[in-house]
Amino acid sequence: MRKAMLVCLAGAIWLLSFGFAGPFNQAPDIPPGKAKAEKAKSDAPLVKAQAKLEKVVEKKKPAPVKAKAKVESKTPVADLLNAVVEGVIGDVANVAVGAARMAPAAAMVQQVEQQYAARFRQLYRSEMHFMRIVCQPTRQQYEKILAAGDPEVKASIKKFALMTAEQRQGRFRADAPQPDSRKLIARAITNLVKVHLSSEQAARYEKELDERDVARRRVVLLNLLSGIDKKVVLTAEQRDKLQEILDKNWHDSWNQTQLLMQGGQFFPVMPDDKILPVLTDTQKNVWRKVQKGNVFFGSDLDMFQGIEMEDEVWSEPGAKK
Amino acid sequence: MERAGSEKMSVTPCQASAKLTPSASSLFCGLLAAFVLAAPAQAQQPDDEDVPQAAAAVVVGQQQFTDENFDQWIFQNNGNFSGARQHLDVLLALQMEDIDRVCKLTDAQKKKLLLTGRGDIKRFFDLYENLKKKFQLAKNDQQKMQKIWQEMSPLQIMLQTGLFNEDSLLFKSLHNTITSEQFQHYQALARERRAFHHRASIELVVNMLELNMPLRAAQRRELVTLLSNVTKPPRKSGQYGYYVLMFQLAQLPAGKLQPLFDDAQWKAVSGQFNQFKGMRQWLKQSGQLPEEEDDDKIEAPTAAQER
Repeated sequence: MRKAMLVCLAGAIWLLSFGFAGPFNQAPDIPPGKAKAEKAKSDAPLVKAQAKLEKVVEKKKPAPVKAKAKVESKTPVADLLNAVVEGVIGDVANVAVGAARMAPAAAMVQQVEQQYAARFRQLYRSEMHFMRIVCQPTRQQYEKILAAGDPEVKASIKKFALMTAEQRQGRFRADAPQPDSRKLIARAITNLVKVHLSSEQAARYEKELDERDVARRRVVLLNLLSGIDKKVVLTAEQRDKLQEILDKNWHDSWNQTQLLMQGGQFFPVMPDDKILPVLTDTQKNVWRKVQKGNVFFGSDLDMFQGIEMEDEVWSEPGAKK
Repeated sequence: MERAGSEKMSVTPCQASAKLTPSASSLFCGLLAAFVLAAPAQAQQPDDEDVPQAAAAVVVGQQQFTDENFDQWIFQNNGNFSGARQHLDVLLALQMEDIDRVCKLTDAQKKKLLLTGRGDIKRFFDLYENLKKKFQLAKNDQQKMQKIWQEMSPLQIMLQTGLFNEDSLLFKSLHNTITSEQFQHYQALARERRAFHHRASIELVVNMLELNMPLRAAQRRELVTLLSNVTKPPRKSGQYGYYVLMFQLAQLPAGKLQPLFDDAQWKAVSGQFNQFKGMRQWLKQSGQLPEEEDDDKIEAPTAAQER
């Protein structure tokens, strides 16, 4: 059975190296000069993952017993294949599985990028509009930031796609923080605002983002608490205690809008060792049976309605109508 | 011999893959497909012990529905009849504990309330038994099964959200069982709890709007205040709080909401409201609409306001 697994594994890897590893094999198509530099920048997360993969493959690779046919090492998949070939006598499965965990298939990343690109653009426009009403830039300043933001958006999409592809390939950990698309975009705009606007305008924008984070955290806490209350019928005093406990033990994996929408039917991983002492025996009995932590509802981008935003209207330079 | 042969096979494809010859591709595809396809096929092979009694299994098209299937659909995480019974008993104990904490019940009051709570559980299992009888008659008729699915849904929701809501015998009998002073205490607490759930839903709704169009902190605060003033919590506590609120929001005259947003923001958020305008019938059927909305008392937007 183990042998059959190894054969299939090798087959899968070989298929990946041809049919699914497109972008890794496209190095010769990269145009020279600036475009190449830009592509390298936007591929940075992939390259990083590739480096990690290579490191793991290198670490796990057993010393060669004899000379073997070797694939020319141009791609991470080829490296993986080489590791498999050289490790047939050793723990091949461990090498392959361990390495595969490090980087999602490029095709999957590309698919996620394509799927969410339009929504990311809309998200970017809405966040730029928000920046405009907060910072009140002139039209020229706004357009400079808009232009400079393009590669930043691409990098954000790539980052988001990498995290999402990981999850889609079954590498979802219930306690892992969820990719927050708007935060990625807002962070990118913050950097640009600092470059192109005054420090006072940048501080105004950052303050709004901080307040948004606080509000978001409050929404998550309130709704988790409301969900617990629907399950175990808390007293006002218990609610206060639990709110404090949840706040102190905050986990980024709780930040899933679609989970909160279910009105207390599903729960993320919770600090039960801290929650249970607050509950009565009957409440404990109910709470212990509530399933927690094994649900991922999808990205907040799936909730994005995709309502088209028109181009910004400028009545006079720097003034918002 | 067979083992040796298979061992040879397991090495040869790896070596072939290293050379990346075209013949290897078909070999790997075949092996991979065989492995992938074989796994589920093997999993589907019936174990003699698992084959249900012929009498209990009836074919509907390609599917066989059994009484066990029916119980799983209804009881879900609770597994079976006794699991569901235990679950409901614990929920009743939870409600009794809550009422006792606030009202300091006498033994006689406890006994009476427990009895009515058990009446709720019995009512649920009566519904289950009735539907199961219908299922047994309909399980070989696909068209009739469509109706059974529809009737199954309320039972599933009852079990998920708990039986002891505002429509339960337990709550309806409260004012006849406890003193008016106790009842006032209890009502105040229940109101406070509903308000807490409502506040959580309001903040979630505002957050959902912000997924499409972020708001400034001041706008967020104003919107939360407005929603707290003009919307009502759902009639029953449950998982539909978000939908009930969005529906109420969609019914509000544009004049009340629009001043909180600029033009671009309003376009984005009003687009979201529109998606909830047609939910009245569904929310009404599931008994979620607050009283006023149920009675169609909510102010309908005029054509001018709509524009």
